[in-house]
Amino acid sequence: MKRRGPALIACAGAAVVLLLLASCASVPVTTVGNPPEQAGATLDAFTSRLLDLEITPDRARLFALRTELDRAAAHTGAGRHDQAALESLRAEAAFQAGDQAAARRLVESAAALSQEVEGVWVVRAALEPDPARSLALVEKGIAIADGTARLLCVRGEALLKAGRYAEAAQDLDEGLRSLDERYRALYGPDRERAFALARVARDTSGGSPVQQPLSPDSVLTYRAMVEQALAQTRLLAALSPSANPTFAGILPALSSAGLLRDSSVAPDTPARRKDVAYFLWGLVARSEHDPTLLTRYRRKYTVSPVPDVSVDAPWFDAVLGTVEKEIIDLPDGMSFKPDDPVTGLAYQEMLAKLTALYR
Amino acid sequence: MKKLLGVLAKILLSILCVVVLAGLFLVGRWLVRREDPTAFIPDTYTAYLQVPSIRGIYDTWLNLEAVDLVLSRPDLAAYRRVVADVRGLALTKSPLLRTLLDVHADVILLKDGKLLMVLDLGWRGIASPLARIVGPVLNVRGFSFLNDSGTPLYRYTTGGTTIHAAFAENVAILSLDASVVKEALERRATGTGLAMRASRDLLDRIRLRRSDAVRILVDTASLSTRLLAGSSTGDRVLGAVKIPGQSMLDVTLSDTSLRLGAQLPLDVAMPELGKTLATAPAPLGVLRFVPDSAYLLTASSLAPLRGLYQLAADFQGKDVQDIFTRADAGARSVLGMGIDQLLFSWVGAELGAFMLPTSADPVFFARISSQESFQRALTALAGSAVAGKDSSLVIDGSRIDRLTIPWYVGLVLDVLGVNVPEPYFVTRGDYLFASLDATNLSAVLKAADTGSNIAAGNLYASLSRGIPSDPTFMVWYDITRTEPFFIKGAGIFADILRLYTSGIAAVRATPTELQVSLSAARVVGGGARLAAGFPLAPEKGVGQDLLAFRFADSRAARLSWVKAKSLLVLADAGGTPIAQAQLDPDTRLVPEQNADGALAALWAVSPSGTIWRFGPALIPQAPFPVASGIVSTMPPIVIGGSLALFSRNDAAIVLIGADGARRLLAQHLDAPLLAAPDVVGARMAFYPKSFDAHVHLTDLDGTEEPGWPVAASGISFCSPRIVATGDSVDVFFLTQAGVLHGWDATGMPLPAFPLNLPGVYYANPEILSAGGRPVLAILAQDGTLSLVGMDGSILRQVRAPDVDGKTARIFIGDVNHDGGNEILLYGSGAFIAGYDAALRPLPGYPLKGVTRPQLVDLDQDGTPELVTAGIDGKIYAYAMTRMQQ
Repeated sequence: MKRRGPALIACAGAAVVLLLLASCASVPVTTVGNPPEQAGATLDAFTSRLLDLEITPDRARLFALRTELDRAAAHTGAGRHDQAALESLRAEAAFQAGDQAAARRLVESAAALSQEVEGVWVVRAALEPDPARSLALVEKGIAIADGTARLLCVRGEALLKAGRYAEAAQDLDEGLRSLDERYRALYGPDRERAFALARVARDTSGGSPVQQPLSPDSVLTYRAMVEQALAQTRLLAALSPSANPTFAGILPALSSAGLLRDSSVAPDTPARRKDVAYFLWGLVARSEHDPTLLTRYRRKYTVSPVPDVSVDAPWFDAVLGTVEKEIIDLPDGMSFKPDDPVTGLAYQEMLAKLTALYR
Repeated sequence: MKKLLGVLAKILLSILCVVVLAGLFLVGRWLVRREDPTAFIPDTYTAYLQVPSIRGIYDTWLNLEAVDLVLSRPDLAAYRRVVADVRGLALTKSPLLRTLLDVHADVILLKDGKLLMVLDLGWRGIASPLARIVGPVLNVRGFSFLNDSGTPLYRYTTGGTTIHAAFAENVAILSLDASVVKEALERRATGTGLAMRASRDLLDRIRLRRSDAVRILVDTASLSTRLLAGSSTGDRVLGAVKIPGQSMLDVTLSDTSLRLGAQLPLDVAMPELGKTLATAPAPLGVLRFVPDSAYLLTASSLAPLRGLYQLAADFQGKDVQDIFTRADAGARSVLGMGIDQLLFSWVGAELGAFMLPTSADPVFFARISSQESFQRALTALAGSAVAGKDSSLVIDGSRIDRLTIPWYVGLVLDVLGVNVPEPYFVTRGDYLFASLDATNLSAVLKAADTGSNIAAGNLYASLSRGIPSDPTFMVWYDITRTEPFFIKGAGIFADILRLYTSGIAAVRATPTELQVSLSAARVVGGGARLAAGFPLAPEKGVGQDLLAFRFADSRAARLSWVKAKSLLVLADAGGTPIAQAQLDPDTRLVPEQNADGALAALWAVSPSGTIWRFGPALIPQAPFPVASGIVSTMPPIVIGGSLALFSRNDAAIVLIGADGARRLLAQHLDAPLLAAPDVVGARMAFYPKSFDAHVHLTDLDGTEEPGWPVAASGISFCSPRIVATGDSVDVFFLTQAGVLHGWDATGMPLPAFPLNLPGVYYANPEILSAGGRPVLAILAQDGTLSLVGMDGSILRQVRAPDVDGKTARIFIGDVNHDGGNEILLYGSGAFIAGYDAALRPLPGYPLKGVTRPQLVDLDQDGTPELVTAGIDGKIYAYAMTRMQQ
């Protein structure tokens, strides 16, 4: 409808212009020189294929698509808006192919035909290396373009990079709601990350600002587990005389405080949920100055209430304690999944909850 | 005695004579000394409205959403409060006031943002000279009299609003600013008002008042310049016609309908256009073929295609002419006939297009002025590049043919924005219909055969009253599907039009007059819409919670939030801060409400246990603030006028009274509460978070009910819920793993419970009434929303898209004022999802917002708005309306 809508409005506009008052719509002046010999693929189909290629890059298919787009552009009989949309798709395809010069040329050609095509602004913003200028282009596009969902997602990504998580989350959520489900493959992870970081920023008080976003699926290592805790909380401050201790510098103190389940482990070894629970529960016990917490649950239970964590496991008390304090969650409401890895983002949320408890 | 009576009679007679003479004098004076209201009005202003009756405006206009929309402009922010104050006055309940207020008024928004109202009192002006005598001795609350250097001024204060007034014979001048009143009087005295400076023509139009519509003086010149200037075509149009600089627009407005009308004198400078306009258009005939489901229709009767194209060439110049030359040459070389024969010979004056909801492709139509020429052209086209039977379709028993438009015809059509390279087409009556989607044409044929056409519909019939049946140009639109070109963009006019979902706009032009009409109605009206003036963007944004309420001693709504983590802000309904108070970082706000929902006090609790209790204007209530030292594990709530916290040191719920006194409830619990207790009547249910999962039911002193606590089957994020029906009390508790327990008041499991629900659960179940019975609304992590009956039956289920049940929470309330319960899911993503009690999505949802929804009457129009803060820190308010037709 969006593609045909302008044609309809322009038709109305042609009459209205002549009626002097009511319209500012202008009669389009065609730039077409060749007859429309065949209908060819529709813009929607091109857009869909380009999206697929953005989700799953394939150089050969991208080349074929660019050829088809070029052919369609040569034979277009479309109105100004559709021509602009086609040119912007060619620009986007060129950008995907890494041909920035062609992308620049094509997007300006599209912009000369119509500034109302959303893709024009998407490509312009992508081509702009300066983040502030790129964001300004997106803002301008949102004000001008006849569709804004993708631009909202692009702005959301830019705001996420700039550390404006709440605004990023707003834009990405709003944008994705209006887009084809497949766009979630492109922007969905960033949306989740933006929400998680916005939550962390909201829950964290008085401490250091939220760290630059970890990749949502990046696996937490022992080193990151400690360094994030150092950066985001003050709970380890007493363990090191240095204001900014390194992992290596604080490791002996951590070991002697019994905070690491396995202090001989290599720093870049992935930290499992049980390791994280052990570490965080140790911090809780230190914060409450109550070492009995470290054995509190094994003294109470003979049968574990969490099926996949036995009472004699070293992390048993840590698991029950962190779950009861809502620092760590039971993913399915019953089992802990102690050997699952922890993502950097999930760990930040755990730290935020811990910080809220022990400021 | 007789003599005494005689003297008394003479005295009374004399008094009567004096009164009669005074009355005659006043009437005579009124007859002779009439003032022209326009003499008090300046000749420059931002907006000028004529209203037929102040009473009518008060009764009908003041509560309109459109008024809120206009007042939402930042430069009119001060007047929003005034309107809120005036709404509460109930002026027209008094018959005397009703009569006195039934007067014409001119309302002028001055360039400096101040408001001037000039009333023509009519016969009521007879008594205006008495105001000078009565004013000083009148003893009315809020009223005062001021003799300002010989000029009598009257002042009336209500709420936060003060109205200043003066009288001059039959005219009353009112303003919120005394200086504006004095300037108006000065204008009259010095002869510098509009009456002396405006053209006679304009004054005539201004004085032509209407008794049934508000009239707005529109700056037509700058409006048309803004619309058209900047493009070469627009500049040519502006040069081709002359319209008056200012025009009166008649407006009839309600919350459900809008009518606009204007007649403008026209002076056409371009002879070709004048000639075209001189031909009277015929009534639109295409309407009987347009299916009643069409949501956008544009039709022009300006000129046949030939004339239209010629005009386009005149306006756009050589480009269009060149296209014609190329197209004509192409047609002649291929077919041996030119564009004139191929198109212009049969396309009549009625042209346009419409959209149907089932297709993305428009249907173009044209009136066939000559069937013979049409058949000749069709034969020629079919002979050169046909799609004959092979590309025809048969849909619903009708054959629909397809045609390839040759490029030379395409060029001409493209100039008019018509792009249909291979359209299907049908003819019916004297009309040709073409579309890329054959099913559209099937719908046209069906409409023609069954009579289910747009003109036969009730809505069209009702809207078209007062709209010329022979317009030069017409648009029928449904904003819920698409916005017509004249509504696109921002601006107060466009925003007001957006309140009315369906409408007809028509223009009828002659060489000397332009008649513009618009009739619109709110059809789907139900649902939520952003309230006028929102979103608000408070400085530094809203951090966590946003509260919206009214204090018990006031009708005015207030907003409150914590700014920059530690500054408590109290603001009016427009977001303007009224008071601020410094708190500790991350302090939580807790409203203490009366039985009627008004705010008795505002509590604030810091993470380290400092407690504040504020009254109106954020005045701290003694003995607060108090450093309690309680680091509460559960969110603070108010129970019976006391603040409830959970103290880990005491292992108990602690109540802090309004006098600062502490009381411990439910002492020595084996685990801390992480979710707030549920309190219903004299009972309280709570769950100390632990794998032991004991659920407690106590009285308000913390004494356990017999049979309690009971053990649940697993750990939970939820608080137990008490459901009280009649004399029976049941308690429900949902574990994280989805086990829903139900116990009666004695702690015995209810039949059918525990119930195993699939999924993982974080949100507290909430209770709503569905069909008069209590029902639990339960949200799973995957967004599945279930309604579970007290008998354990799952009544309904729906999957709420994009709702993360881990962070989302459930709000139950009558959000659309239908007397029932609606379910809102908030806190997940950036939007609030809404469902009715049958789990059907509410119209207008999802809404932007993330904090717990608040229902409060922000604009004092009698219906609450839904207020929330977005994840972007802005404040959103939504007006909620019921479905209406």
